[in-house]
Amino acid sequence: MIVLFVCVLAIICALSMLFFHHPMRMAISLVLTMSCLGLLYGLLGNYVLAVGQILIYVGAVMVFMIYVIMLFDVQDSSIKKPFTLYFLPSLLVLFIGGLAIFPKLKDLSAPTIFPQTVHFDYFARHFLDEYWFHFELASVLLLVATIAAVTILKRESK
Amino acid sequence: MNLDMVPFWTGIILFIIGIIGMIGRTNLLSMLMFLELMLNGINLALVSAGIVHQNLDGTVLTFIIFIITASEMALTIPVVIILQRQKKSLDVLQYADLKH
Repeated sequence: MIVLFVCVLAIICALSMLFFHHPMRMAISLVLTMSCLGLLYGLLGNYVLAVGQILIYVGAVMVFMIYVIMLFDVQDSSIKKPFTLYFLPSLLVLFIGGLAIFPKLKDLSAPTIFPQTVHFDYFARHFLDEYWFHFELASVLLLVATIAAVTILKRESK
Repeated sequence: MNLDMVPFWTGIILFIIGIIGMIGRTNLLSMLMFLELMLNGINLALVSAGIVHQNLDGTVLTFIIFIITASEMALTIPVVIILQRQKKSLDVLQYADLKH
């Protein structure tokens, strides 16, 4: 029941982002949504992601975003614009796409199970045993992207 | 629908709200925030699917997405600052000449 309540709270906070126009209010709503998701991960027994969600998303990414919002002019004209001209046609396409996908997602019914608790030691052991290659692949890709970005910047500065 | 699937559907709903906001807004910072919301929705759907199937695939993928997101924000925010300094605006419609 608490899981259901937190889910509804997360959706309400996310919906409020659509109605706020000021970026700072939107950022606060997003922080609340992310906090709700962190709580949800904890309630589902996934403590690793609960800590990661709060530390990385709320503590790093959103604080960084709030600093940037404070840096910029809040009187920008784009803030006051409600929605673009493409909004309604895009909503229509989204609705049709949703109708096509929904029957397949509806078949995803889960058996009633108790959530498996994911502690740090269990996660670390499992992660390094089975998923080390994926992690290394992601780190190599990030390294390549960083080298590419630095190369482009140096070429432009010449 | 089973009650165990509620977090999964919450993730899907967050993703849809993110898409709607991403399409509807022209402010670059707002679009970035909706992008983050979409990523969070996907994370939640992955984790809840992993719990339902009783494996760690969703958790590991979400953990890697955390790393990618932090890197993405570290790269995106300087780009936003540079664009704002060049165009004196955060309106994405004014960046249309970037493709020429």
